[in-house]
Amino acid sequence: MSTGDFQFLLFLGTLLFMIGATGVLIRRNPLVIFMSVELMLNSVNLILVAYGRALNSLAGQIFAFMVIVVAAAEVVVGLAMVTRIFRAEHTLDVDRLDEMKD
Amino acid sequence: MILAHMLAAALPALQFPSGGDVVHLLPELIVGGGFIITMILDTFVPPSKRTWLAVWSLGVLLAAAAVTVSDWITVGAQQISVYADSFSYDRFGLFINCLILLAALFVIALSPSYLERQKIHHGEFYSLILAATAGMMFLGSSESLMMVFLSIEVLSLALYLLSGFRRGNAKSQEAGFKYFLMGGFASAILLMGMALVYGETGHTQLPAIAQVVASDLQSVDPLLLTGIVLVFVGLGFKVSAAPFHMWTPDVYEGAPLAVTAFMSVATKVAAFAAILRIFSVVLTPLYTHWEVAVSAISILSMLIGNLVALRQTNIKRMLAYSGIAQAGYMLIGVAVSGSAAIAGVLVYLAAYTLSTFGVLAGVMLVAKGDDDSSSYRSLRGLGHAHPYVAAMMALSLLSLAGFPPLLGFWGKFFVFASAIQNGQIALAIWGVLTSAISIFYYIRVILILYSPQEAEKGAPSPWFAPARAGAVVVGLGVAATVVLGVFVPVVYHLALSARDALLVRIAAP
Repeated sequence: MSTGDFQFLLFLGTLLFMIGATGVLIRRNPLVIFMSVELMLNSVNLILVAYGRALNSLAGQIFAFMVIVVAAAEVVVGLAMVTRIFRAEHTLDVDRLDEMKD
Repeated sequence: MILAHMLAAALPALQFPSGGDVVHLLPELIVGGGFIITMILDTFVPPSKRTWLAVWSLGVLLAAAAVTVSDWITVGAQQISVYADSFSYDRFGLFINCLILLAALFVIALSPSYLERQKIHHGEFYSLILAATAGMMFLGSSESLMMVFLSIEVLSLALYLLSGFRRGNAKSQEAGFKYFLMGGFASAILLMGMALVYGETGHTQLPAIAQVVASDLQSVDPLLLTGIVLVFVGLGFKVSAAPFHMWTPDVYEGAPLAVTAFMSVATKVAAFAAILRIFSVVLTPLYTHWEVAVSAISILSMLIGNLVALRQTNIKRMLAYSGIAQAGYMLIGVAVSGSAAIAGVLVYLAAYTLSTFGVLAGVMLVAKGDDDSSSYRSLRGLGHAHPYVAAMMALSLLSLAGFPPLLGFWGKFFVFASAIQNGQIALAIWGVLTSAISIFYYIRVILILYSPQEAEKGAPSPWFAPARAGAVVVGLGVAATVVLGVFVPVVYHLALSARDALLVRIAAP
């Protein structure tokens, strides 16, 4: 892998991370926010794998595998919570979830 | 025949983990195994017998606590690498284990009667608490970025579910979901930071990172610094330090009291263990680069936490903001980064655990209704109806406010003293000034507890009578705040040897 490739991957990963972070901050639908978080996690995977290749070390790949497992576990918990909220409130808008305020 | 031959050839190649490594993680593994067994047991135990699940969980935690204490004696001042530097077996991790186990023991001892009264006595509660406890204990001894991330996820996933544990209640659902979304966001930021640190140093193990960082001071990589900042942001979210604290009051308010009590205490302890391991030890050579950021976050936490706590009218929310302020005080200890500061933070964590728990446990003993009797209005006059409970809460509040000779005073004393020792006098003065503000809102709650009750004669009591076993447990915790406050050299001595163990392999400047 040439330095150019590596820099491109790093740039792409950062860009995807930024897109994900922006999504979390501006979108109002919890499912979309949730997808944005997943995008952030997977952009980090890309960066981890790219670094692992560039450094010729396996730790990056192993780390990425762990992140994949964690992301799967998060999906399980997250979707369960989304369905329960939807059943209770019949809305999926984070601005309407404002039972508690200062 | 051929198969047997192949097996014989393959066997030596299979690397089994050495027995020694498993033994070093025994307390964590007992709780982790206990979590899985509790989950299975839950399917067999009839709903009326769920208190036995609590008894079983207490047994698991006590076993882990016994092993932790005996480990403390056997390990001495060494720091032993477990599974190729994934974990570290040392007195620092064991100190953290003790605090987390203490919080878990207290919560589970109080839970059966509380959950029964709130009609949310489901068996998953115990298995999820054990899962979160295991994650926190692993975090306390993690010595690799991967393990830090995994432990944080284990404890967070369990806590997301626990926050939404009151199933029919919109507030609780909202709390769980907010915590989940914000927590996932913070984890992603933490992970990005770890990826950058790994990429720029080439290692995920903290001792190896420490070597790289210490050997190459001249050319500090901007990507490495970005990574460090992102890691701090991620961990700052977990300890609810100021710009990352938005989720805390809502989650604490919506979650059932038992969960609020557990996570306000134990999550902070575990996340501070990770912050101390990473920032106060491994990254000290880069101290000048992150010192300003950590000081700023500490100052902001003390300011926002204390000011907003003043205008709260719900004890859960008040303690959330007070927790933000306390995180700020503890971050002073990280920002000054002396070896005395680490011991100060450890004493502070012990004080915070006992005192915050004492307040919330007091409410838990009598909590009635959907809002857990947590608004100030519903606590009015508790001191006349249940003087024992109110007295314990008052003592814990005084300890949080930092009245000598209670343990909370000594936590503040050691942290501020280490700041002065290291020439950070402004931070210490700021800490003292803001803790003067905090006295107002702690005393206000005590006044409310002892103000005359407004209810008419004959109306049903707004509180349940405290369960006797629970009252004894809370009494023990509060007694510890007082006794350890009087005999504070004992705690400080333990904190010092935990601190020394932390610095064995990576010498601090």
